[in-house]
Parts: sequence; C-alpha cells; structure tokens
Amino acid sequence: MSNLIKSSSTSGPTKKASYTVPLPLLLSPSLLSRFLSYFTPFTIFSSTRKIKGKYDEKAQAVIISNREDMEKLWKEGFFGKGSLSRSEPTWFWRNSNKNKGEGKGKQKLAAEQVTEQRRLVRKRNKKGRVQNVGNVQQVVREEAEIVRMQEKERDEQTIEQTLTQEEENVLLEDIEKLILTTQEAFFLCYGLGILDIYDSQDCLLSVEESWKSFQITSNGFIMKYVVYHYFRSLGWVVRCGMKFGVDYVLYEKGPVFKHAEYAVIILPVHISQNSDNDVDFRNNCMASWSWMMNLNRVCVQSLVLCYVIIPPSIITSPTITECIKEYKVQQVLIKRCIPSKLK
Amino acid sequence: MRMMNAISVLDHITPFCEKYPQTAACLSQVYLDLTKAKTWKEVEVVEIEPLQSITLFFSSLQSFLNKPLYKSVTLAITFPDSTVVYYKVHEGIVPPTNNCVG
Repeated sequence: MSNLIKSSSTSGPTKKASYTVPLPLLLSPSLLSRFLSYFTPFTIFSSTRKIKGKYDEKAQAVIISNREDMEKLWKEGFFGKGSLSRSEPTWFWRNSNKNKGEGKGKQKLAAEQVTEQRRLVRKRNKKGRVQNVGNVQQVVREEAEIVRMQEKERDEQTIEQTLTQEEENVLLEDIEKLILTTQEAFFLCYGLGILDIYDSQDCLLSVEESWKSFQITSNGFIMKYVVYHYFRSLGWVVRCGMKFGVDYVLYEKGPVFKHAEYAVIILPVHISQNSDNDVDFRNNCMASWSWMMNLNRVCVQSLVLCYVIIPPSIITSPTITECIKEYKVQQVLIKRCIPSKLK
Repeated sequence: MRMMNAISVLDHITPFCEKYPQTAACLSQVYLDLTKAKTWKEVEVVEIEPLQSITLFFSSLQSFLNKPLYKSVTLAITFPDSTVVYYKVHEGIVPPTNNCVG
C-alpha cells in the first residue's frame, strides 16, 4: 500500500544531468563539515539508513521494493534492473495514462519510448521507400496514403487508450521492483556496506551468511563476483551481458550515455584439481579460435577475455576478504583489425 | 475499481508454478514480462510433453517442430536479473518477414 502512495509522485525517467554520483557511498561527516552544517541550510551527508533487499533463492536475485531505494540504486551507479522495464524501473511512469502515447515536444521519454518512436519512424520510412518505385503521381498518391495511415494509427491509439481505460478502470499499482543479481547485491552489501539482505523469512543475513548462501545457489558465484568487484573498483559500470552473449559489459559512465566499451567473458583457470562447486562453470568452454571469432563478430564491443585464476583448495573458513584475495584476475583484449587499414 | 497487485496478477499461473516448482521462478518471470511489460492481453500456459525435461536439447526441439502442427517456437531465455531474451526457432529456412524484428 505504501508503494501506491509513493509511486504517484514518480518523477519518471532520470534526466542525464541527474547522474552525478558514481556510487551510492555514504560519506560520514567530518568535524569540519559538521561545523559548516550549522551555517549552511542543507546537509551534505546522506542518511545512514541501509537499503533493505530481499533474497529470493529460487530466482537467485535480491529484490528491492522501496521506490526511493530503487531510484537511488539506479541513479548512483546503475545497479539492478527494473523487473518490468528494460533497465531503469520506469514501468509505472510509462503506463500511467498521462504518459502513454507518442511524445509531444519536450515531454520526457523513457528508453523504451525512445525505441518505440524510432521503430515507428523506421516503419514509415520503409513503407515510403517500398512504395517509391514508380512515377511521381504514384509517389504523391502513396504519400497521401501514408498520411492517412498515420492518422489512422493515431486514431487507433486513442481508441485503444479509451478502451483500455474503460474496460480496465484499474487503479494502477506500482508492482515493479528492482532486481539485483547476487553479485551486485553482494558488492553493495560487502563492498560498499549500504545494503542489508534479508531472507524469505525476513531474517537479516550477515555478510558471511550471504556469501555462503549465494555460493550454494549460483554456479560459479565467487568467480563472477571477483570479476564484478574488480571492474567496479576500477570505476567501470558493470552490467549484465546476456543480451550480447557475454558475461558482463563495461560502461565508462553508464548505459544511458554511451554504448558499452567492453564485453567481458569469464574464463576459469584452475591451478590444481579441486572439487568445489565452481568446477562446472565454463569447464566445457570451447576456448577455441572459431568460438572466439564467432563471438567477436556478434559483439560490437571489444572483447575482453577475463581469466580468473582460481586458487587451490583454501584452508578452512578464511574470511571473505582473504578468500577473494587468493583469486587473481588477468585480462586479454581481443580486437579485430584489418591489415590494410593498419598502414 | 479493481486494485491490481503482483499477487493477483500471478494467480493465473499459480497451479503451474506448484506443478513445476523447479521452473516456477522462470515461469512467473516470463509471464510477468509478457503480460505487464509487453502488455500481451491473453497469455495461456500450454504444457508440451516432449519439451519438459530440465535441460532442453535442440534435438528434442527439432523433433517437436517436425510434427506438422507447430511451425515455430519462441524461446524465452531468462536471467536472474529479470532480463528475458526471446528467440524464434523455425523448422528449416523461412523467408524474412517485412516486420521490423529489431
């Protein structure tokens, strides 16, 4: 119910200029800033309240339900994905009646709406091109037809809108959540210390408990986490690479600014034979040249093969930091080049 | 005025989730994506015997498509962060359609 009240003030997709903070870090107030805060009307340190996330074992994901937290995690580092959106959780904003339909003028557009508009324009251009064979009279006739089609589309849209409003007459509740992968959640919890992970019974999981829990359900969790943590600490925005056929994609500033710079594939290197649950991950990886060339063609980004050197079986119950330190990461960059262009 | 929430939305597929507990998370994820995000109005679950093993092999998909009843299958591949990627699998080569695929 509280989500319903909060979501009525959803501001919609974030403006590019609002992405000012690279990571959702809490800055503890120094003495000087505390002194200054007496004179300035605003506080410069954010609250110390931790974000609450719920771990769903079956889905292997941590779910954020609070609208403010969802927006904060997206705005400050592009963490997570809206469960009903392509990236930023804008489902409620896009579907509330006043924001439906094509954008007029300066209206804000979410990523999905931008794509929709682009597709409509392409479709019209395509119709125009296909029909542009023939003489001028025919062209004029067809252009008139296109205009008629456009008007028909617009009419259909408005009819559809009124129909859906009438037939459903539903008070739209914001059922969208922000979904974090186990790696993202663990980074926020262990690396940055701003997330509290609760299990399905609403019990708070300690960092160690989360560490163990994530390893059981996710295959190759430690390996994937080590790579995630590595690139995040270098300042890259690390996102899921499934749409590109890779493990991760790296953005310099974020997905809203530019296309991804690099596509990362994780390849395990076992030093010694040890029987832990990471053995199945990518063991059958056909690290052959033909596989790599296939992938390079599909991916527009430069391919980074990230080798994770897995240490031999470690001593009983080391701390998480010690465990992570044992893993080594090496990268190889693959980029196709054409010899004649190199001259 | 009806109040719609996530629990009532999934009512439609609850019996299937209980019947197939291992894939319940995937099923609800794809169902939510199709009905809410992509706004398909009528989505029904159809149980197909030969494709119900835990790991789907292309051979079983191929033998399924060989039957004259079904021409193509759309695979919905899910990822834990709720990304769903759809792939259309046809039997044999089909000419391209003029609809924008991208």
